Amino acid sequence: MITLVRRLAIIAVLGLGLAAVIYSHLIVSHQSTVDQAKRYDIAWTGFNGRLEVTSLRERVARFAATGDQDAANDVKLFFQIVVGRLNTWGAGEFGKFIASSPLREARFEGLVRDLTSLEPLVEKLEEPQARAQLMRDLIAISTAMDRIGGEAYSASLNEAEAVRKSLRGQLTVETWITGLLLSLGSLLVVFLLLQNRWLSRAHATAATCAANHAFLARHDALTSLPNRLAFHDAFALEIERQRPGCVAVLAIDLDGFKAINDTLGHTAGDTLLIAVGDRLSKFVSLWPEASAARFGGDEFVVILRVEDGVSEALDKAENLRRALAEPYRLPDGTVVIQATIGLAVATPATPDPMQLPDNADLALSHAKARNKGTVQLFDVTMRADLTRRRRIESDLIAAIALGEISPQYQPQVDMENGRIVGVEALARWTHPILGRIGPDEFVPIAESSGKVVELGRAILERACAEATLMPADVKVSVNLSVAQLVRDDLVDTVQEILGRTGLSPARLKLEVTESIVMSDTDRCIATLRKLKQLGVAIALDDFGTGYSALSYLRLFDWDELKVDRSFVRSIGSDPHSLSIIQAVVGLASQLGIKVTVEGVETEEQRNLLRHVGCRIGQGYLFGAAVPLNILSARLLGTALPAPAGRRAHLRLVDKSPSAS
Amino acid sequence: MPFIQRILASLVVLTGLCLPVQAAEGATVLTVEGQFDGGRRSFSLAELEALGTQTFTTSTPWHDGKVTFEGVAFARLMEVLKAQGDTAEVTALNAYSIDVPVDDLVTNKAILALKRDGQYMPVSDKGPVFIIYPFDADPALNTEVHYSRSVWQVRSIALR
Repeated sequence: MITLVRRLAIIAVLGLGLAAVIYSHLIVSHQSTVDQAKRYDIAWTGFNGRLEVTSLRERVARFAATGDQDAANDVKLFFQIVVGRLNTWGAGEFGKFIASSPLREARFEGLVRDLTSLEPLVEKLEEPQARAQLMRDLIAISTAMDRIGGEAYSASLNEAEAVRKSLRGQLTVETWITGLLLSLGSLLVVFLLLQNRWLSRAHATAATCAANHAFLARHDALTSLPNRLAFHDAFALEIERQRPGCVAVLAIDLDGFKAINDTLGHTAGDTLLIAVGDRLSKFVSLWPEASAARFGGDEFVVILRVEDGVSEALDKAENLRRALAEPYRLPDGTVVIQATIGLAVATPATPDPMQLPDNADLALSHAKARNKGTVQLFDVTMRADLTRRRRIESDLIAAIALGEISPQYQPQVDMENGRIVGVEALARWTHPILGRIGPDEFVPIAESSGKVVELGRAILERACAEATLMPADVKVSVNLSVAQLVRDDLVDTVQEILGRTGLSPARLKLEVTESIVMSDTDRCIATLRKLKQLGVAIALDDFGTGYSALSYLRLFDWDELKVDRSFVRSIGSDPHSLSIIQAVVGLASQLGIKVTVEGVETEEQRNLLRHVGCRIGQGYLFGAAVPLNILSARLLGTALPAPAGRRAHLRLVDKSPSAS
Repeated sequence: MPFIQRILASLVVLTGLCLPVQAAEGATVLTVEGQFDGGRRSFSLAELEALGTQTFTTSTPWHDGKVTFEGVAFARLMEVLKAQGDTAEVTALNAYSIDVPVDDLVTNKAILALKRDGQYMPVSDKGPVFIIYPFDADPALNTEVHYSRSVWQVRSIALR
């Protein structure tokens, strides 16, 4: 339809153009017709000639009656006038008219001849005979002039008629063209109206689209909650409004959402997010002057106004957290998911309320790292923590490359004879500005920023290289992170490092924690088996802290179990701990697995452990982790325990119990 | 046409020789009436010529080819007489009379021609006074209106 109308409109415009061309052509021909019409009118001069010859006859008659000299002069004057008239007739436009007909031309020649022949008679007016002759001849001349004058009149009439006819013809054509122009014009007007209608329809569609886009620009497509942009606007408005109470911001994150997405699929994940968004907005709508937004992923934010400050905000946040933790009934089944909430409240002391969302986010990160599934109120130290954390994160790669992060070695000692039988390589970072940074701080950062693989590799390589400088009967233990273990190239990497450093595989012990193996058991076990085939020993670290320690003993042929320090710490006070260690040692010896106990700090602990059959111990009693040069000095006098002064010093700098 | 011209030439010569109607030296050829000092003034050919003449060449509907006219500019006549008036009522020897706007005569540089192609014009050649416009100078003059205002054999002019 639109195409048809468009074609018709084009035809109409072309028609208009054609009509305009015809019209301009007509105007030109019109011009020539009009020119013809304004040409000299020969009828008038013809008529005057007839009048003049009549006047001449009158003058002659008057002279005949009066004999007056003035009348005679009049006759002569009018004779000259008539001669002049014939002169006029013989030239110019009238001359052309005369010449247009041979008969008329002949007649005119006769007329001129006749008039010329009258001249002597005019001179002899006084003679009656001449006068009578003149009168007679003038009648004939008058008749001839009448005839030519009459012809001129009718020729003029004919010409006028021809002009009129031509004009009429042109008028007809003009009428048609005008009609055509009007119809084409009307057609165009109709097209215009049609197009107008289409345009307004298109406009309406565009307006709807624009409204949709405007909504989408400010709302999250999945949950229809306001998005980050809309939240920031609403937040800025809320801050500016002078209302009683304080503005509070809740940053909400679902714990383990990624796992749900991974196990149940993205569709289920989306369904869960919609359900959470729904519950969140319903819950928040019960609070006056509160609104919820989704920032993306499983990140939600709530802005609210509280009258009683922090305590009310904390109560509300806790209520919300509990509400969100209720089971979600989804088409795929019931899902239980916890939420962690970071809370920031704009108290009169808050320097910049615009930082509230950031603060809430910091509190959330803090809680995620320490206490998932809780509400965490923002604290100014969190900002300093964040700055430090970012610094650590950005400096990490350079620190690995520059060797700022290097292994230190904690001895593993045969408690029977005090001999160092092995060392555990522990990553230590001496930052040029921040000073010493503990592994409990930078390792999680390396894990979260994906740099832990490089870190682990660097430590492994350095430890293997340095182990070649140690006595051949000293084994070196290196921790593996989950990120390293899930990589396909771990076995190749280990093999390559062993090849490059020349360390015998039998001297390398790789430690993995139970939780690492739990994450992807089959794959991890397969990797560990390959490593074991290289000749590398595999130790299960932190034994006794996990869920199902015994089943893991069955899954893999471990070379060593490292009993967690928590058991050792309490053996003095809790007789069960010692019994458990005793049982583990018994079990391990049955299975042919060595046992190392961690966290041995006192002589009393050593004696108790020796009593229940533990041979190898690790802990401050035997020395903290030290650089290679110090360790080498120790190894020279291997039977001696660390000097008391040094021990105290090391404990000060390496006080974190999770360091090993 | 050449034939006619020949006949006419002989006619003109004849009449010119035999009937010098107004050949008298100093005879009045034009009378002007109107709002000026004296209210009426007669001019002989010599008097008219004494006012100063202009010459132009033009074609007309009454002549074959181009013709050169010499005469007194109408504007000059008005200037000399210090005459007022919007309309000139021009009357010819044959009593033909027409009202011509003075402004039209002045603006379009009409002259009171006394000579055609260097010769005084007898009555038989539209003389002795012939109001003529320079038709070729302005194509807009070539209309029936200005043809009708080109009066020959002018006898008198009344300024009103």
